[in-house]
Amino acid sequence: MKTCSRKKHHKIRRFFFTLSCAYLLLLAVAALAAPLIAPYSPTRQFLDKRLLEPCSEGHLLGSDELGRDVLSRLIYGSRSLLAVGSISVSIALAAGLLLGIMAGLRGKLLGGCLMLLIDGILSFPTVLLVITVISLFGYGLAQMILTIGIVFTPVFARIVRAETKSLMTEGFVESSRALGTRRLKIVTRHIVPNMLPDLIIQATILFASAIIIEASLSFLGLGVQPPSPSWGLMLKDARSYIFQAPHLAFIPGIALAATVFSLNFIGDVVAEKLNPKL
Amino acid sequence: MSQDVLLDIKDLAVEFRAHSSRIQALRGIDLTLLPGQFHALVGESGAGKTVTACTVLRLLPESARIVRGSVVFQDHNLLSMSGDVLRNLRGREISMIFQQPSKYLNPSMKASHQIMESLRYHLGYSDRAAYGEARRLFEKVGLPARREDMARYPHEFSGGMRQRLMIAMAIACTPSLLIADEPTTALDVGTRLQIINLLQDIRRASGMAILYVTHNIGIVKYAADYISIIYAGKIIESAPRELLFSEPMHPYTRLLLASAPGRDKRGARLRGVPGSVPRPDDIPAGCAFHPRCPIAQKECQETPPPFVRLRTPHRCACFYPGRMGDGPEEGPEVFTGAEFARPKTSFPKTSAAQTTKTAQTTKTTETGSAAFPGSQGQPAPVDAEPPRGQGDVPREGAGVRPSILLRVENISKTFAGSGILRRSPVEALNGVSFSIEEGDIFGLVGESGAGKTTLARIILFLEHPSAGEIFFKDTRLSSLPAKKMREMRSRIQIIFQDPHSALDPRLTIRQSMEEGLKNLGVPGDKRRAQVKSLLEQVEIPWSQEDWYPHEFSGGQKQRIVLARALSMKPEFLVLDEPVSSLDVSIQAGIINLLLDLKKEYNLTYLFISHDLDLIGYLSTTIGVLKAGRLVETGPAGQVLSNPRSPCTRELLENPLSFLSLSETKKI
Ligand SMILES: Nc1ncnc2c1ncn2[C@@H]1O[C@H](COP(=O)(O)OP(=O)(O)O)[C@@H](O)[C@H]1O
Ligand code: SF4
Ligand SMILES: [Mg+2]
Repeated sequence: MKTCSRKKHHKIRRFFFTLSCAYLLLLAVAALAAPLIAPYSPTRQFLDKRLLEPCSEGHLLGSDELGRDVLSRLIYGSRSLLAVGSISVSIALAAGLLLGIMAGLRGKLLGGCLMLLIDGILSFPTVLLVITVISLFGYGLAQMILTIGIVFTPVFARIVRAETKSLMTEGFVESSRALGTRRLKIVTRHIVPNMLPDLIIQATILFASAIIIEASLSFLGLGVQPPSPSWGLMLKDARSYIFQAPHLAFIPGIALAATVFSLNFIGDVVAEKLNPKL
Repeated sequence: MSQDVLLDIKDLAVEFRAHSSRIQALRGIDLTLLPGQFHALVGESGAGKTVTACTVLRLLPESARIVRGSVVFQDHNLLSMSGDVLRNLRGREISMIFQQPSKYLNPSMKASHQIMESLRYHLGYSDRAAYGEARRLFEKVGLPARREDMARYPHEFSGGMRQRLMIAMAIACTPSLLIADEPTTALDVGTRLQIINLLQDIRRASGMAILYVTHNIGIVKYAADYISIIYAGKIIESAPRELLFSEPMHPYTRLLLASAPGRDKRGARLRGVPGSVPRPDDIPAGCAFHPRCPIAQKECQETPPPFVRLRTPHRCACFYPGRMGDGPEEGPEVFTGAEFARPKTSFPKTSAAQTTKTAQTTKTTETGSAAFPGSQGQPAPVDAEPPRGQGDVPREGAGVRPSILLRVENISKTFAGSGILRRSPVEALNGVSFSIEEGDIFGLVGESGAGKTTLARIILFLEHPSAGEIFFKDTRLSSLPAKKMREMRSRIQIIFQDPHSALDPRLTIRQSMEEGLKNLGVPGDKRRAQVKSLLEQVEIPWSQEDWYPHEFSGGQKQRIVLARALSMKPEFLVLDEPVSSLDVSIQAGIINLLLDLKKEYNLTYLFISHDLDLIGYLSTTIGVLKAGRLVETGPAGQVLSNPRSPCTRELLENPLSFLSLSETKKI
């Protein structure tokens, strides 16, 4: 990296970090306080005001083909989006930590069996897997969250196992063992904190993909069921009006892209900040 | 410029810009290399050796800036040369080999192809001719040259063979200068010798000059024609080898030579260099060495000393060259006034008497060590039962046999082969038995891969032996229940080779230090007090307790690790290469500290090293491990003077080991 541009680069990073944080915060507030903020109910149809352009009177972001307010749907849609992202990633993180550490610490047999299971799940394409699980559990928001959580578990488990194995051979872990520290203590004090940055990066990436999966499944009709609002549904419905009302696709699309970008960016920065060397 | 100079570096300064700080990596390098010369560039890590080597080939990273100076190679100015001309020169006229060949070899390319590539590119060989030449090169560097051997991939080679492969690539176009950046640092002493001999043979046969970058004085002493010593980005002394070893002029050189442990220094205290290498973004004004120099004067803090000629080839950057004594029983004063008449700066002749006095009063080093016995010329007798130095515990009452502290019985360890394809089991240890008496320093020496670390880990119960038993004070460790085992753990502690990985990077020093005490159930306020006194003992300022490990140097980290081990109040300490990753000048301080602590806490050591000089210096008993078997054990004096096993003899006779400074043997 060129040193002269280092400072500038630093400034730009900072700016984007602030922007990303602000955006996600806005999203979170919108999701939590949707009934207070949203101008209308997301399902209310103004049949006389269909396909309004953005900045129309009373409808800041316009309205869709059924005359529903786009801003309100966007705000309410962020609820399922964030719920899916945060809950499913948390489930996956917890399960992945448990499985991964067990597989990493235990001997060949148990560790091997666990990994076989994990690799088995991982070898399916994600969306295919989701569809398979949904066909078992049926569809709906809760099922979708659980499904995505299950699907992501192996991703964490693999990282955790690999990191556990390599950290167990680190000098400081061996020293700690030589100091008579118990295994559980070693895991909580040395192993988990040292893989946290990698897990955070992975969590933000998966959070972003969970959001995309939510949108895609809703788009495919397997996730959030209409008329409940979801960004994926909004995109799906916009398909038929792409020429008459491109904003119907652009607005949720851009919101989605911005969310994913912000998450990934914040993940990188936080992981870096957690490293005491930087 | 006279014609018989191959490479002439003048006043070369290079800096790096990082964040807002400016790192002065090189601050004026002067170096002259003659054709066919083996020129050693010696310095501690971070001194600027690699940057110097890379500047010659213009392989610096983008963040580097050449501030001033010139590098002239055979009348070409390398610094102003265009990229194309330079590329043509690289590999053809100047080539380079590195410490980690695996990093520079293409892992997905057959060995033969790696060599053929440069032959085709630089010399325009056809495939067939290149192959024939590659085969000849394989033979020349001592690699098996059958067709199937040449078709192997780099990862199938051992470390030494990979280095040979790199050498073959480097000499493919018969360059006139080979730059070697620590090519043998990662290798065993035996392999190291082979590689150096190989380089010497090639040099003799082809007249190629070698710029050999190293921090190993043993190598320099064995092979170099000419030596330049670099400190904090500046050459501080350069001289032909004999002259440098017989009359080192710069205080740093003198201290460096006195720091190296040797079998001839048994019982004497190592001198060490006080303090530590300056941080490259914070180099002291004046003479960069002044904070560590025992004879520094006011002038040294203000003006940088010029790099001047003392006598014809000998150059030195110090206001008071040759003035620092080696110890109380100094030989005749080396200083002869006439030699210093030439320097351009005014040399304070009047202060001669005064500085000599200073030299003799300033005898304390970093660890507050006492006087340094002038062991240089007079090796302590090796064969007698060693007159143990400061580190030893006086044995109470003659005739009372000290009790056995640790007994290792028939330990074997076989690792199931890893990997899917190669599953042949690895026999790391095979029936190793020995015992260590209380108060001993048992020195275990062996090449890398001999099983030293495995043995250490088994003794610490970090690894289970495949067979055999360990007894600690007649308690069989494998029969202990888990709870007793944890108690036992505190009595046996280990120090690993790599201090950088021994501390959790996410915990502050205090948190790390308190870990063991917490396990022992020591309450909070007592913990703090104990940590404080231990840190003091290893000379880490208490004010730095909340620092993170990366803020300390390697030597300081090793001190902290040592303090942490001591916090468990152990009786027995396993030291697995505790100083191998440290610079020579720092090593001496740690070794002195270890010897002091041993005395103070009545400790017993198992000291593991690949370095027979070090083992020979401090052990009371020596064991030699070779390919998992203990081939020799015995009292140190006996093993050193009268080895029974050929392996020991081979180690002892290796000319790279640092026998004694007065003895120089030209190959
Ligand atoms: N790419 C780089 N960026 C910043 N500083 C560097 C870089 N490479 C080397 N340095 C600094 O230059 C100094 C000399 O380094 P080096 O030549 O590698 O030392 P040596 O080879 O003697 O161990 C060191 O202090 C190091 O921190
Ligand atoms: S005497 Fe002065 S100039 Fe010479 S090394 Fe010491 S500090 Fe530097
Ligand atoms: Mg280097």
